[in-house]
Amino acid sequence: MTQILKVHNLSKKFGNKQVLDHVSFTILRGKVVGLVGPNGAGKSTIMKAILGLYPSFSGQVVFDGRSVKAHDQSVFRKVGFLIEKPAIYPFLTGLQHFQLYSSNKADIQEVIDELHMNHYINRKATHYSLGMKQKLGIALAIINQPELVILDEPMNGLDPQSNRDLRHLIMKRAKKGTTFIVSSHILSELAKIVDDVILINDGKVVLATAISELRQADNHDYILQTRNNIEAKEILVNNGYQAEIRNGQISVTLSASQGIVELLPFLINHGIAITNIYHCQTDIESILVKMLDESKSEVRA
Amino acid sequence: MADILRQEFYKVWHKRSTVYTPLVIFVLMGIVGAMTIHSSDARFYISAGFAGFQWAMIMLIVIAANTISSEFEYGTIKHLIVQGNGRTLVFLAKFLVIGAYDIYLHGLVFGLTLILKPLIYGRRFAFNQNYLYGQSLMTNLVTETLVDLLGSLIIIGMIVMLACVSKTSAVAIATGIVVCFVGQGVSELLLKAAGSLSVILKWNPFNMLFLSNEWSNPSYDHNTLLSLPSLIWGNVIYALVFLVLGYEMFKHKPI
Ligand SMILES: Nc1ncnc2c1ncn2[C@@H]1O[C@H](COP(=O)(O)OP(=O)(O)OP(=O)(O)O)[C@@H](O)[C@H]1O
Ligand SMILES: [Mg+2]
Repeated sequence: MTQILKVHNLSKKFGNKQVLDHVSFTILRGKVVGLVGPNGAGKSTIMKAILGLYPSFSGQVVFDGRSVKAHDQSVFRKVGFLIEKPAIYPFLTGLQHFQLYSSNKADIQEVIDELHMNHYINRKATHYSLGMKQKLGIALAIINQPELVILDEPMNGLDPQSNRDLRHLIMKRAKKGTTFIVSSHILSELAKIVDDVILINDGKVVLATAISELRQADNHDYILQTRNNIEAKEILVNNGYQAEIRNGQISVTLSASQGIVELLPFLINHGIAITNIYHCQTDIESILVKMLDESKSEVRA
Repeated sequence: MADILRQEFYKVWHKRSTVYTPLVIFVLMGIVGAMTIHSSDARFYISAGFAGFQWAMIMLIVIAANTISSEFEYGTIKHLIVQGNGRTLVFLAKFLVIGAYDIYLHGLVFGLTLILKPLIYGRRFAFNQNYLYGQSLMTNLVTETLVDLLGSLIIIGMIVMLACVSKTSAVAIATGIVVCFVGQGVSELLLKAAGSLSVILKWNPFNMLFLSNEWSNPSYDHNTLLSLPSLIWGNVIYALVFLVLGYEMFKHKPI
């Protein structure tokens, strides 16, 4: 798969504040990439910097094989985006917005249908609700068949049905080869659609990985209940397992070389009676939160 | 460039103010005309477009400031820049649209004057009648239209610059309107107080606002201390300086 976007050592300061600190990552064509991080992490700033919207930044952005320069956006003909808030003229109707940017009627109608915007598309945008504006903003990012679509917190203000519409729309287009960068702090929403996750904290990339690997990482946590938890924990720790007692249960995290298939007979051989065992299915959200916490404590250490 | 200009005109076309502006100017000019119906100075009011140029200038100040500030306010500037291919072209497009609006409004006032004159004065004061400088009333009106258009450049330049500096359009609009109304007075005071410094101070930007006055009344050079050609050049150069400064601000304006 070819890469569509490469960000290398991107740094940006506002005054004395280092908002982006040597951010580097690569995005492959056709992928849906989640940009995840807490408020103020620098997600929107990264997106704007990618588009060359800052007169000054250091580092390199290569889109589709061409280097992006400040004050030269010619490389972005094929990029659609919604950053921070939908870009809407209150005095135009939804449909007029489409006409402003595109001449392809079929294309326009398709997006309107997909996001169920038909009943208000002829009203002036100034009368739109938050979610209606958001959908219009998303739709405007999608039209004109862009190769890359950048969506900053697109789920903002969307009801559950619209959320589903948005996910369908993203997945459908990703299948056809459109690349997406989607930011959010509602991680669980993002987890349903993204292929890759880039975790940002304090202007730094904390983690860049495939979501499937994250899920896998999660698969190594088990909770055990035994007749004698204290003894069992001792035995596990003494034999190279990572284990601790939490809420009267033993929580075990297996390393890559350890398997549950070996763990159970091992305990039984040591005379431990196991009364219950289950596999932790922490949701993706808590994994990321955990990773964020770890990255923060690393910084402090 | 063609694309971004098309978009700019699309927006102008769909703004409600675009419909109201000519109506408002027409009504205001009509009021001024009605008040002067028995005036002995009717030909002056005709050649001055029934004060329509002043109203048009106020409208233009509001429109020019808003067309720049609102893009930042709505967040649409990002799309203009990315799809319009850079800040320079966006700035140029904005300037061209404002310039076109300026020309349109002057044409409008000219046209409305043609319509209003017979409505107000009937058959009196024919356009081919002689007025100032041995020229016809029509020639005087045309000249006034063109000179006012030239004089509006410096105001446009200032508004564009202020709109690029400040976050909202309010500052640019307020300053613009104040300058239009009291700018000349400020310059007069400056020059009166200046004494020997007036050699330099006569080049102050407010003094340039006398262009149209001096054009129709050459003895104004006693007040402005500048010859007509100097005033013309002053207007053009100040307008350019303001625009260049505005462009620099625009290039670095945070989004
Ligand atoms: N124009 C600016 N001037 C000064 N500081 C800024 C500016 N824009 C952003 N920042 C700072 O940069 C940091 C990152 O901001 P950014 O908007 O990228 O965060 P974010 O990850 O998008 O957060 P959120 O989830 O709240 O949208 C913040 O600390 C913010 O205060
Ligand atoms: Mg943000």
